[in-house]
Order: sequence, then C-alpha cells, then structure tokens
Amino acid sequence: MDEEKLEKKLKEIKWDEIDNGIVDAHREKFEQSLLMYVEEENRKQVTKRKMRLSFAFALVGILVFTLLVSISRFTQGETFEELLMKNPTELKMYNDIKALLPPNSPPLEIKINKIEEDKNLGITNLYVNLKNSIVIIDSKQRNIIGVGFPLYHAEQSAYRSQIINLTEREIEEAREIALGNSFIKRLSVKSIEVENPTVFVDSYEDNLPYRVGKVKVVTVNGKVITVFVDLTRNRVLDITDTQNVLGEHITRDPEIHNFFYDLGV
Amino acid sequence: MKEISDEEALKESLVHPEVFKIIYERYHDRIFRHIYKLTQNVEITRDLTEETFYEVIKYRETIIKSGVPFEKYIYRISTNEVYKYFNREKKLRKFQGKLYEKEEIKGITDDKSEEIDNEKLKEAINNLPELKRICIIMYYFEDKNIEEIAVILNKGKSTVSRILNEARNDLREVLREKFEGKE
Repeated sequence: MDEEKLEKKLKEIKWDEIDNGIVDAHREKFEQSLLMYVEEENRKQVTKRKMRLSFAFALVGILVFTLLVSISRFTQGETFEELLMKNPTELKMYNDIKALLPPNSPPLEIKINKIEEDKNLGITNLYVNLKNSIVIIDSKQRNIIGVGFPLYHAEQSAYRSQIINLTEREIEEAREIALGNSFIKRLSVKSIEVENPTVFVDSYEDNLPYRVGKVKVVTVNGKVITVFVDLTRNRVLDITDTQNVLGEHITRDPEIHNFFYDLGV
Repeated sequence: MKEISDEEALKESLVHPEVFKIIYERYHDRIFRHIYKLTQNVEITRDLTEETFYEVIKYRETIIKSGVPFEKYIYRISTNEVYKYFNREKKLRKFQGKLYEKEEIKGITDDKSEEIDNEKLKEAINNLPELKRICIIMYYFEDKNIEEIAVILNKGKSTVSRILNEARNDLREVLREKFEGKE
C-alpha cells in the first residue's frame, strides 16, 4: 500500500464511536461521587495547609528561640566576664599568675568555659579556664557571692597537695573568718572546730600558694557544715554540707541557700 | 452574565466544591469519547475517565499555576492515563505470554472487500506501539492537529511529526505484507 493510498484510507476510515447512551449513563452515575470526592479533597487540602502553616510557625518559633537564647548567652557571658575582671581579688590572683609566667608565654586571658544556672538556688556557676575554678554568681543581683576552687581536686594529681599543720594563729584566723560570716552568724552553732592537720593546696600555678583552712561547724540540731576559708586572702571560699563539695554540688538545704545571697567576697 | 472560564471554575472549586460541576459537564463527554477512541473498550474507558477527573481534582492548584489551558491539560491527563494503562497491559501480556485481544476488533479474513480493508487497517492501528497508536488516533479520528497533540502529550511538535511518520511507515509495512501476502 503506497503513501497516498494509506493517507486516503486513514481519512476515510470510520473509527468506532461510543454510544451516546453509555456516555450519558456514566455522566449521571459518576457525578455525585465525584462531587463528594471534590469536597473530601478540599477538606484534605485545608488540613494539609493548616499543618504546613503550623509547621512553619513552629520552625520560626524554634529559630527565634534559639536566636534569643544565643543572644542572651552571649550577653550574659560578656556581663560575667566584665564582673570577673572588675573583681579586685580575682584580678589580683590572675595578675599574680601572670607575673609568674615566663616572658614568652601567650597572654593569659580569663575565659568562661561554661555557664551553669541553678534556678532553684538562684545562682550561676561560671567555670573559668584557670584550673577548673568556679565563680558563683547571684543570678538576680549579678554579684560574685563565692569564688570556688574545687578542693576535691586536691586529692588528684592535677593539684599538688600535702597534709600540713596550721599554726595557732592560722587556726584562730580560720575560726574568725568562719564565724564572721553572716550565714554562720544566723545559725545556732553548737560547736566549731578547725581541722588540723589539714590540706595545704598549692594551687593555680606552681609557686602560688593557696592556703585553705577547713572549719567544721555543728549546729544544735546536729547539722554539720563545712566552711572552707582562704587563709591567704582572708575570705570564705565556700560552704558545704557533709555530702557536697563546692559549686558543683551545693547543698539543697534552704537555710544554706539563703546564705549565698548574703555572702560577700 | 459572563460565562466562567475553566480556570476560574477550577480555582473556585477549591472553596466551593459544587462549582466543579461546571468543569465536569463541560468535559465529561469529550474525555469519555477521547478515551474510548484510544482504548476501544467501554469498561476501561469508564475507569480511565474517572481516574482522569480524580487526577484533575488532586492537581487543581498545579494545573492553575502551570498556565497551560485547562482543555489541553485535561486531555494530557486522560491521554497519560491511557498510556499508563497500555503500559500496564503490555507488562501483563508479557507476563502471561498471551496475545492481546481487542474487544471489538474482528479477525482478518481473506475477503478483499473495502470493508475488510478497513478492518485490517484498524487492526494494524491497534497493533501499533502505544505512542504511535495514540498519535494516529488523535490525528486522524479526533481531528487534532500536530500542535494540539504535542501539547497533550507534552512533547515537541517535531517529535509528534516524527512519531506520526513512523506510525504511517509501520502501517504501510504491515498492510503491504498482508496485501502482498494474499495477492
């Protein structure tokens, strides 16, 4: 069959047409279910749109929250750094350390490695870069209420320590520092005892002594509280109960919590 | 009162489902006939027509956004449904190892009458590969031009022309064998 003939045939040929009755019957039968499908599909679309919108809102919310937290952390960090640098005792300590450093050493900068807020106690622990020291801040007042240096490290090799005997003068000084503290003053003290011999801690840098006295205070109701005093700088370092040591494990005793608000450095 | 366009009706149906009736009434018969021409089977035509409308409803927003005239789009969807159906059938036939039997195509006889020639031609068309068959049917029996077919099949005009030429060549070849074999 040649090209022309085929073309002619294709144009002539009658392709099977469907009966109108079948078309009409299907149109009528299918209409109702189709319209119901449209309704259902619209409902699905609305739900999907709502879900997408909620998801978008949630995402934006998370982003905004993260941003706010980051900004707050950053500002908080800056405030605390400023607070540290303005504190004369800390400054003196770091200046002493700096003076001991060899001439070519990199500049010594105080950095806060970690900020940990304890909302129950209303305090913030700043973990600074110098030998794991902890600075305790009153979260509301933004004051330094305690300068911690983890004594439990005294037993570890990172800190050189030895058992020493305190002099009579040092024992008296430790007792005075502890009793002069506003928190201890509020307690009904049954007995007070300065531990002797105690741990001599050679802290921060090799040649910078950090002499600590450990004063055990027993209240009338039998509570035992330990006051760590810095004999080198005449101040209270920290107050703990029998189980806990310093900033990381501050006692949950509400009486002791109150102390932190009164404590001055 | 101004008659609502297909696109407007489609958009409106997103809020008022009953408006879709306008689209349905405008296109049901045309699509039904179009699918029947391609499949030559009433049951399959019913199924594929319904599938076509379901697809239209599901993708209303995409259709509106596409900018393609709705008429072309609905033909594209229905043709695509047919094409998918043919492919499924082909796979099934391969699996079953059977020859496909068309519902209303009669067998070839040795009669040389004009009527029988037409039947042979119809059968040859129905035995063409899917895409070629669709192009031939739309071009010769639905009076669609190459441009319209190209839009419906979402292909270039030159591609459609080439497919049509190849389909005609195939038909000539098949018919030559039949005629010459007999004469």
